[in-house]
Amino acid sequence: MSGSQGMHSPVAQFEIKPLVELSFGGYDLSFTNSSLFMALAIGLSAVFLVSAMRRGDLVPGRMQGMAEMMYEFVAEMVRSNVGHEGRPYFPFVFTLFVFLLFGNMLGLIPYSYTFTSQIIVTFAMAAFVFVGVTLIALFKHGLHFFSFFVPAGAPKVLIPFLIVIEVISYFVRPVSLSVRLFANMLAGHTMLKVFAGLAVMISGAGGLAMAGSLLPFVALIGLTGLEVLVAALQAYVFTILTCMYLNDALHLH
Amino acid sequence: MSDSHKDQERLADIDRRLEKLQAQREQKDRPSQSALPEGMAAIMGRVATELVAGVVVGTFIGWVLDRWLDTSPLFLLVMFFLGAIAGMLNVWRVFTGRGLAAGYFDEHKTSSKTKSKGADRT
Repeated sequence: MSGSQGMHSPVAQFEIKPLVELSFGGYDLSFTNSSLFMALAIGLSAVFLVSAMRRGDLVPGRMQGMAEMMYEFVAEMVRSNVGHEGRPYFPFVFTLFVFLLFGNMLGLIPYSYTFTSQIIVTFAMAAFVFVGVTLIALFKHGLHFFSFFVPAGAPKVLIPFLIVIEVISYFVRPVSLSVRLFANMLAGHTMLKVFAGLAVMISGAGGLAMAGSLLPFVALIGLTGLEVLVAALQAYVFTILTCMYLNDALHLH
Repeated sequence: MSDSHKDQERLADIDRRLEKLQAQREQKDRPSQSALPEGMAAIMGRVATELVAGVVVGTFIGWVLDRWLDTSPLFLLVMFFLGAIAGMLNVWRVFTGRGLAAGYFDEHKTSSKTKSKGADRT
């Protein structure tokens, strides 16, 4: 993949590099570049929210306005998707959204690492949501929860068959939830690297051909803008799907 | 006489206003139809992930069952197809606006404009 003229592979950016080697009981617990950016996402979001809201002005300034907009955006999302019963879960949903948003946005900074481009990270988060939502449904509805898998008004002969399908489609949730976020980030960042590599390669030809490198460069600027949109949108999609699953768990149907 | 009449009218008025406000509040507190992105690309992405994830999850469940019951490759094959069906079912749900809930809704209830799952509770 990596060319001889110092051309970087577009997927080299996803490589996990241990920064501090740690091993505990046979498990590799190294602090990697992925962990570093997760810690950064948590730290920066905490610093941002705390410093923005510290003064608590009645008329919000720029930072406070941003923090309040984020809060209200998620609060509105929980209210319109889960309803009144969703309020106890707001802190979790808000944390999830802010973590993903900061992670996706940090990943757009050159030389940084996008931890949401690793399927294991997004899958761990989706699995946590999936297990949590299922437990909430079980505690709230008891065994009645399993009626969720029985389609109402279906012919009796088909019911066992349909239950299996419904159970599969329930287990699809964490997979499609995690794959959506991971695939978007992976594809976007690979595309950025491909275009950047193209621009560098063409300009390496020298002379008049240098002008040709302007084309991928302009495309790269546009793509970066698109990636900012995708980063915000995918954080939103992950969060809103969590809200919808929570709604199903709380209300069944 | 006229005073008490007036009072009653005012009370009735307050009742009416309270009722209206309460209805508004309930409307607000009830989950309304969610706003997932609805662009062509967003829908295509969802359809693709649902289809693939259905097959992958179905096959995986089949593989686990086979290992557990030592019936390879019976469940792998059966669950592969059931997974594909589940994926298609999810795609159908995306397009009919049934959200992501498993199970079917009563047609008469979902055909109403509110489409909210809270309203479908029985």
